[in-house]
Amino acid sequence: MSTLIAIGAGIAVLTGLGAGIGIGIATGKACEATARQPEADGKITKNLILGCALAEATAIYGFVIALMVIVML
Amino acid sequence: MISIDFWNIGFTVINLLILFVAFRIFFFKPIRKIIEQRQAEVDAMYNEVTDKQNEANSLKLEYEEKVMIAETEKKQILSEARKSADGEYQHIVTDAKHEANRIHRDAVAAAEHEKEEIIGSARKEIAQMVVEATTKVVGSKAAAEIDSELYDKFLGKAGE
Amino acid sequence: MSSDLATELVEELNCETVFTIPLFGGIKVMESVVVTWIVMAVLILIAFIMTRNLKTQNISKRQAVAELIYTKLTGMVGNMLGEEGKRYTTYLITVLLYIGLSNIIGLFGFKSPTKDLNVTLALAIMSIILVEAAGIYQKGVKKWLKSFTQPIAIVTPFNILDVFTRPLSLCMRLFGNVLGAFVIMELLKIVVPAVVPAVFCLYFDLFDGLLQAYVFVFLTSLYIKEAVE
Repeated sequence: MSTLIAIGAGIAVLTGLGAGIGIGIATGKACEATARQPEADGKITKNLILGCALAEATAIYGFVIALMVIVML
Repeated sequence: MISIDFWNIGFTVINLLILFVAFRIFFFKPIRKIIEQRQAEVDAMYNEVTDKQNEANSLKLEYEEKVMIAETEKKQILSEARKSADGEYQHIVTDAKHEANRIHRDAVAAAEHEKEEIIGSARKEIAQMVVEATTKVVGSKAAAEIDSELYDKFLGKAGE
Repeated sequence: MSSDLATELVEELNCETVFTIPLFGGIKVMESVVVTWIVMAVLILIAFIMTRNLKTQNISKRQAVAELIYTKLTGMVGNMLGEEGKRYTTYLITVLLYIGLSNIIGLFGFKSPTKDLNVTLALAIMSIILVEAAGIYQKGVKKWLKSFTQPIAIVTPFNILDVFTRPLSLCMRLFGNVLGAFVIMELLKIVVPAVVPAVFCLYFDLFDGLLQAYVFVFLTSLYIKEAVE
């Protein structure tokens, strides 16, 4: 039983994959944007951090679900 | 951690509302009030400064106008003075000319008069001399001699 | 070792009941509520001290800081809310300061209230009530109901679903972030007891905590802006 729970939690945490890819793409685009317009650096950084925080949420959901699976089951 | 408790949620909501009200009273209201007050003060100061500026500008205009009036007045007075001075000068000069003319005329007249007097006196003297000579000649010599001698004597008298 | 760690973690994660009010069959007052009181007391005290003896001229440093905080926060949140939603600025600033201080109060040895699901749920419920209330206030009930069918009628179920998913997402995001940061920090402290946790603490507790507070307020203001337009 506990093995199954562990596997379930592990699968839930796989959501981190999406967040990682998303943040990677966002950061790449932000770098491009900065290269194109270095004077807009501050704004881009702000938006990037905000976007990352939002994208990270999916990974966090996975983490919360995994924790719930472990604690509740 | 995961358990959901109604009272806990209720407490949090109440806490947040209390915090919100407290912040309105203790943080937002006084600071907003003070900022508005300062704004009003600054506005008042600005208005005052603008008023002062306008006043100063109008004063300056007035002053400039006054200066201009004074300038024209000065010019007028000056030209008037010059004119009157000219007149006076002319007057004096003509007076002096007249005086000089008069003096000259007087002098000429005096000189003429004197000359006439001198001539008159000379004529008298000549006449007397002629009479004297005549009497002298008549008294001493014959007629022909008398004539030439008389002439010589006269000439001699006259030549003296 | 692993079971030790697990029990320790669970103990840290669980919100204990501090005391019980003997009313309605016992109201449990949780640790998070007590810490919330502490956070409130600190915030109100700071605000109270900062706004003493305000003057219009020759201001003190204390007043300058207070005014700077006020103008910066009002400008930031006001910008996010837009012209129509300006009146909700004060509430959002309060929430921002509360979440911010709650997230970093873990540094001072308290249990962050935002680590408790109930607190974040309460915050999210208040947010969604505020969003819908702003919509009703701005448009009137009829138009507000109509706005669910925008842009086309077929998305109505999703729009209605939005009312529930939005607060859930807000709540879970904040809760998960704080909890995740906490778990990672605990694990790190067990693995490397010195120096290294300090650096990560700077990121997870300070930066991430304040960022999540900002994100929460940002999303709420985004929803409000959408609702009042």
